[in-house]
Amino acid sequence: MKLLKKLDKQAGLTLRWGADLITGNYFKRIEVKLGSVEQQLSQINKALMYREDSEIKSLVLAMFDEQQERILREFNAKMEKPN
Amino acid sequence: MKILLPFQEDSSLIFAGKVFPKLKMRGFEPELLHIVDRNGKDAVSDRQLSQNIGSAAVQQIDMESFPDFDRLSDYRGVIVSRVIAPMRTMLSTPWYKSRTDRPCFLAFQPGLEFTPSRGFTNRAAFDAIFLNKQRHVHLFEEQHPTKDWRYVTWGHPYFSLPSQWYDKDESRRNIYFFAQAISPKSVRSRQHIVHVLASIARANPDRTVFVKLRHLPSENVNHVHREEFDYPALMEQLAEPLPPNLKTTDCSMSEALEDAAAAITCTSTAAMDSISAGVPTAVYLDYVDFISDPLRDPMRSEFETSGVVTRLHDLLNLRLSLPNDGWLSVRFRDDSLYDEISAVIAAFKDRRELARPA
Repeated sequence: MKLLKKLDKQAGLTLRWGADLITGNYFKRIEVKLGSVEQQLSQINKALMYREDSEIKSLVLAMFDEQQERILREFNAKMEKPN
Repeated sequence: MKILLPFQEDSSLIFAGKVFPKLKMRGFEPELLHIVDRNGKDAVSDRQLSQNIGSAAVQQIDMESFPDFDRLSDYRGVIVSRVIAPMRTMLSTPWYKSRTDRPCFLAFQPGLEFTPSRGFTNRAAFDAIFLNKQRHVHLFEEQHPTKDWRYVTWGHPYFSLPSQWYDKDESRRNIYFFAQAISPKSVRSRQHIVHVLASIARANPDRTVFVKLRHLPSENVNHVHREEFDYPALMEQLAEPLPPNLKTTDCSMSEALEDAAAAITCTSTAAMDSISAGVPTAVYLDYVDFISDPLRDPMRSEFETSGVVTRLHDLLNLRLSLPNDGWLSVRFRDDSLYDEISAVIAAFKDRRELARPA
């Protein structure tokens, strides 16, 4: 949460959409996907440098979609394994 | 007591089909009226008609001719879920509104309503308005004050408290996904749904997973909610072989809910139907490319505290929760709804004041 507050302060309104998604229940999964908090900060900061709102949005969404597809792949793989 | 149930398209037909037997059971004499749009925009097929109303007699009238329907005064009540413009105009006309020989016009909302303000306005001239949520009653009255006789309450035939839960009924094996025409919206999202259902089917070979089609690809072609990517086509296009226990069905909602072990939907009112039927229900909103679906966020807000919004991992493992009591109690009612309909119609006759049930 501290990270998000910090990000919100830096980004102002531009990050509101991404922050809303991240503060929801997806936060943990996104964090896992991205690795450390520092890496996350670095990626978002990089996007912020160019004030590319859509870049942040796309980043978060792409991560989310990728994560859902991974959950599905892992479930299918687990089901295919013989007992 | 004769009640008229007008319908136009599949959504209002489903509503009329649901209410018709309930009214009949309680001693009313319901009659069906198919209001036909001459442009064919709201056409319903014979299959949709027979599925929802069986062999019940149906009268027909053109939309524009509704105000001239000379048998209107034969009825004590007209109950609708969809408001048509000629009906609204009639009820906004003082000379008609003040007639003592006219029926009481009762309006429900069509189902889950994410942007109710417009629907409120469309129903403001009705004699009785049944809103989906208890907390909307005062809001409606504030937004649409009137000096005419009017009764505003809450409750919906689709949102009735279940008599029991079937979460432990092992005799029920079928899982139904209730499809919608426009949500999820994108082809990617809908392909994801097919993949999820195929995975559930593969993991549960002793169960059948049905994609319950709201309409056949050949139906509702001119409907305002026209389906762009239908599930039968997406299932055919699946790269991997389709599990034999993943099927489509065009059965009715009530048929599906009679043997459903679980119901899955994204943003459909079917979630309310299945909860009403005591079927464990998953509202699944984590489809890929959800951002393209404008109905997803309002559905999430509506169901946020319900306890039935289900994550992908839980859905795949069929870990479904029953809804929270607090969420249920302000949206779902028992069958006293029909007693209230009866009381409203009786009170309307001599414009008697009627207290809302506590």
